[in-house]
Amino acid sequence: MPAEPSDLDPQKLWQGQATEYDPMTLAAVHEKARTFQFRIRRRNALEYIGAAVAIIGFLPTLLLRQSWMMQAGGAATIAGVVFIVWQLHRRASANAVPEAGEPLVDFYRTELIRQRDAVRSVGLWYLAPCIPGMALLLLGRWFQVHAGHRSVGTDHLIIALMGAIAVLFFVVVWLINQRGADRLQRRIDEL
Amino acid sequence: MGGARRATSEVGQDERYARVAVTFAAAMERLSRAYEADADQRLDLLQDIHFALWRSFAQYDGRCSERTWVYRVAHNVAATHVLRRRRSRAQAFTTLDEIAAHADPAQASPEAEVGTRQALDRLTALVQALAPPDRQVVVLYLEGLDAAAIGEVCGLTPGAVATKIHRLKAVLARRFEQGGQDAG
Repeated sequence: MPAEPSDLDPQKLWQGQATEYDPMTLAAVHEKARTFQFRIRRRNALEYIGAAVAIIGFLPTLLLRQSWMMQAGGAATIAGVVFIVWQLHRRASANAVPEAGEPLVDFYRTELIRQRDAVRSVGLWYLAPCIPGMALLLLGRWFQVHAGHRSVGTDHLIIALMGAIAVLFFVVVWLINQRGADRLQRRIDEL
Repeated sequence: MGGARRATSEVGQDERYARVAVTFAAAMERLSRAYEADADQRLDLLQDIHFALWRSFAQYDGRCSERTWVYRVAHNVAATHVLRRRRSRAQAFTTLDEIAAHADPAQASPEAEVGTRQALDRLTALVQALAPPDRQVVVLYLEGLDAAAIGEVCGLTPGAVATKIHRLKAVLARRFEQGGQDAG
């Protein structure tokens, strides 16, 4: 039977909702705490494994005696990867903590500003560290190491194409993040 | 000795959480409903809220009432959840001002013909469409908190809360043909 308008006091309606779940028991909370710690350790481990794989992948270039540019590029790329992992770790640790009991308006603004700054500066902490290494690797390939089974002209064309793709990738990632930062800024302004 | 103090502190944390978990169980469930429409995600959010409450009591120092603390922590967890979910799916939020300024053509049918369930669904959908800061004020109002208490939880002045509640009441009155009790 339809409710009468007088039954539709929004506060009564809201508070009169049936509950579906029992409160979490202490045992369940403690179990969740263990899972939480495990996830943090796993996330850290994955970041370090990713960095280790990248470092191992670029180690052979350090041994390329015929191209100091590619050696320097490999070293710069490894340094860049280490820097990015450190930044990811630092930024994850600096996350606003929801359980600090701050009023929402402060917490929400802090969180939006933190996200905006991370996204806005992605060029500095995520893209720029890769650029010197990438540039040196491409320059080393261009000037010092040619593929033996191709003509120099074809080899240069392929290297130029790879460079163009890398530049395009960097520009697209940067633009997407700038648009994201603009959206976040609009939400901050609305507060 | 440090271990003994930590153990004592953890007992206090456990006891406080156990008490609050029961007292605010229904309110926390309603809050999770206000922030998440998907049933599975809602249960995850509810558990995250309970877990955050338990963690928070390790640093609760009595700077505000227990109720204020509980609502702050719970809403902050829910707002974080919304921000994270919003990154993975396109979802437009609106503000109370925008809702108040635009009539909703979908709400044209007389409320008298709408059952309680549908009315609750409609109310929930309205709440879920709001940006987190407005949503928090609305949920706390619906929970029956007065303007001063809402201001303390949200970090807003009572005047700002009263303005938002005034707009909310206008929206609710239009949609439900009557307002709730005064919050302020």
